[in-house]
Amino acid sequence: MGGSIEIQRPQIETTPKGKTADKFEAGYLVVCWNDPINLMPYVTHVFQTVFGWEKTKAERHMREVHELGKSTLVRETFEKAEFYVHKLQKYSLQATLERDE
Amino acid sequence: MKLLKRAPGKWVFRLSRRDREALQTTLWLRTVLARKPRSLSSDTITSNSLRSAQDDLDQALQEHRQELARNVDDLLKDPKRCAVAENGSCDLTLTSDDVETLLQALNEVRVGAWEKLGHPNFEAGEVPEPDEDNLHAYWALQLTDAFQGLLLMAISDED
Repeated sequence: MGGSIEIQRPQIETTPKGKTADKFEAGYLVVCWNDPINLMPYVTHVFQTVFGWEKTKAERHMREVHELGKSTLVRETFEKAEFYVHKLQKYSLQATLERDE
Repeated sequence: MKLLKRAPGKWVFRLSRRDREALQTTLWLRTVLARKPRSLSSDTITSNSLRSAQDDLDQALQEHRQELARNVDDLLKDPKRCAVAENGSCDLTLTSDDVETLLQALNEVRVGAWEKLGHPNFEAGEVPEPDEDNLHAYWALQLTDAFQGLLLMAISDED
């Protein structure tokens, strides 16, 4: 007892802002495009199921898809956006991820 | 196909022999109406990470289709969930997961049929001439419309 302990501070490397850092930033948009064959209640149901949205919010996005040709659903990190695109495409909706420039 | 009973997270539908055969044939059309690959991003894929993510999506969708096929097959062959009577009618008992399975499988047929017809915009009056080659696609659109509509109506009453 009584001896002093020298604590070494860990060295923190800083990553230059680049592609790897970008992947963890919420800079990716999940976009759903209009396929004029999907039933409107089906698209609403899929949005509710995938994102856990209330029906009114899901319907608003469904109408955007139907009337404007596309709707931006969420802004996320690359991995989360990729996850949502997989989920939506499993329901045969045309969803993509886009860089939010 | 009629909704007989409903409990939280559970639905029982009565299908006549014709309904059951139509549902089975519609779902079987997934094997005929091959889906076209879909892109992960509308951007031109230039980076390695995006290319690898596209490969992941292609593989995930392929595996998902195989799993859907297995689940649909299991559902329709399970006498506890699809109890077929002597006259050929059947009571189909579905959980929430089963409903999602059927909705996804039916929509795969629906989009596949639409792709087969050349992506027409029916609302804009684009109606390809029915012929021997695409008649089954028209048939699939009618039936998926009916089955998806019934399933969605049944579950939406729970909202």
